Amino acid sequence: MGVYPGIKETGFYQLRHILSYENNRENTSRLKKNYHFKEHAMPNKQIPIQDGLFTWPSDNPRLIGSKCGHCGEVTFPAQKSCAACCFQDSENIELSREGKLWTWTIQGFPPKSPPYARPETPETFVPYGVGYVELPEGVRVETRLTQNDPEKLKIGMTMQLVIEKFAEDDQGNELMSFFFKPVEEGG
Amino acid sequence: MEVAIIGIGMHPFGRTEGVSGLEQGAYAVRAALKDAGVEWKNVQFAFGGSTDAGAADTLVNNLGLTGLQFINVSNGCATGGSALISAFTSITSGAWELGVAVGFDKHPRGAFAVDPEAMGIGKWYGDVGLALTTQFFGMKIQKYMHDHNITEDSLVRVAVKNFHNGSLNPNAWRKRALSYEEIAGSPMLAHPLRQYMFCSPGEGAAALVLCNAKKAKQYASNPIYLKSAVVKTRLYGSFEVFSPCQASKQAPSPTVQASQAAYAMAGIGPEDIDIAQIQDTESGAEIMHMSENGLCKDGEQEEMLKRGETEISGRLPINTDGGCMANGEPIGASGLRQVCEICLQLRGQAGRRQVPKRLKTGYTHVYGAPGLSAVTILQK
Repeated sequence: MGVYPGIKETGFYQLRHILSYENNRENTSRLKKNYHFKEHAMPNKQIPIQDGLFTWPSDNPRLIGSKCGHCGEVTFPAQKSCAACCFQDSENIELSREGKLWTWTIQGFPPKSPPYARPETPETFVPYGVGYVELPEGVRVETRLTQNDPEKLKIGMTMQLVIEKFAEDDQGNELMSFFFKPVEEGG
Repeated sequence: MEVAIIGIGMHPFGRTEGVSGLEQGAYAVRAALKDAGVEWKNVQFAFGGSTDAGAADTLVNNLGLTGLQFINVSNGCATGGSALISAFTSITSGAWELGVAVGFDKHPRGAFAVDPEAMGIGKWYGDVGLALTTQFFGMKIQKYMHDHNITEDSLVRVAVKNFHNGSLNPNAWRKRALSYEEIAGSPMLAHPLRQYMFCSPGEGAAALVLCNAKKAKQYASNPIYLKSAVVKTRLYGSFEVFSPCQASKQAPSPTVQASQAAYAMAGIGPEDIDIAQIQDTESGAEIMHMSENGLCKDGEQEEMLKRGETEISGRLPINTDGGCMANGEPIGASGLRQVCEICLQLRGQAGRRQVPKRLKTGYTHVYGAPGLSAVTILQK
């Protein structure tokens, strides 16, 4: 039985098969290598989708949160004031790279664009995982996941931060965003 | 002061081509006024709300420019409930004696479009594909099912029940009862939630005429009394929609707070509730809201649904008019639709979907982004 049994019968969107995110990523990497071969004089820049969400550029990127100096609560993204105690005494901190999957879902249809920054059609869209990862700092961050197979996602599994290309801008720069991937997968 | 509902009115829910949301709102108000035997010129105040169909206070152009106090209300999916609470406190405070609460909407097709920046979150949140209400509902029920041993069977049964009830409701949008197999075989939109477990944004309007309870019998032979009406917003640590992070120490949801305050205000408990209309944005929401509103313990829902306890013929009928699933979700109207349904049931006027057992106390609940809830308790 397929993971999405309804699709072929109803033609909800005309996917011939479900691509895993990992396969799609490899295809994108191959395309990128060809692009570099032709345009070797102009390397693509990797730009964060939003400044201040994670450290970048970095070989060991971290999400940037904030910790309240008054009550100790940690928030992501970083904020100047604390929603828990109302004080304005927060400072930025770098968050741990590993945590536990607290809950998850799979986005099964192309999001409306805008606001979704990747133009998708029912033919190009690949379902993607979304979840909350609980980090040791005591905060659960909402995140895209690199895994989209519901059989392979379990509440409680260990997840690790990765920064990957999310989309391209008009100049061909790579827009980078944060994802979490299952650690047991082996990459 | 006590508050009585002396008139109810609705425009059919679902797609009505060529009739604007405002026109549907006016239709509902006129129907409620007729039901109450009240003329618009005697209405002292009104609260109204719509998310997508225009400013409610412009209804005076249609209904009549009498100079009354008319205030617009905007609280996401809790708009209708919030309009009602505003009307409730206008009367209990003694400020006014006779007023109207109205809600209407006409949403475009497809999932709700969300502007993260309007919700105080950065543009990136929408860019990367996180600004979807469906994801929140999938994630919340995923965790709940894991923690309390609820299976997909329960999700399907809720949808079967609500579409069945909708098929008995001439005012509903979805009037075709869907089978268990159709629902269980529909595409997965936000695991574990499938397409036919979700409500859709839609169209519709509902209105109430309310008065000081002392004067109720002048207007109606069967007034319904508002024993409580409460709105609560979220506490730090509750799991809400559009949250880039959550605290690890969880707090009770705004539904729990509103529910507890409503029982306290009415001086009753969940065991006294005979019939309830609770927010069924999707099957999981109805299940979780059953326990959040104190109507059962966490995990009991699975057996209750198997035994049919929440059917029209059951011990605790829930969403007897088909809920948001069969009526659609025109945000401004849904909270008031729920109150209209309770009134119809308590009056014995619900036709083919009339609950057969003796009814005295009804309960309504809505929950809306970014994390608030409105609850009312009604008695005859």
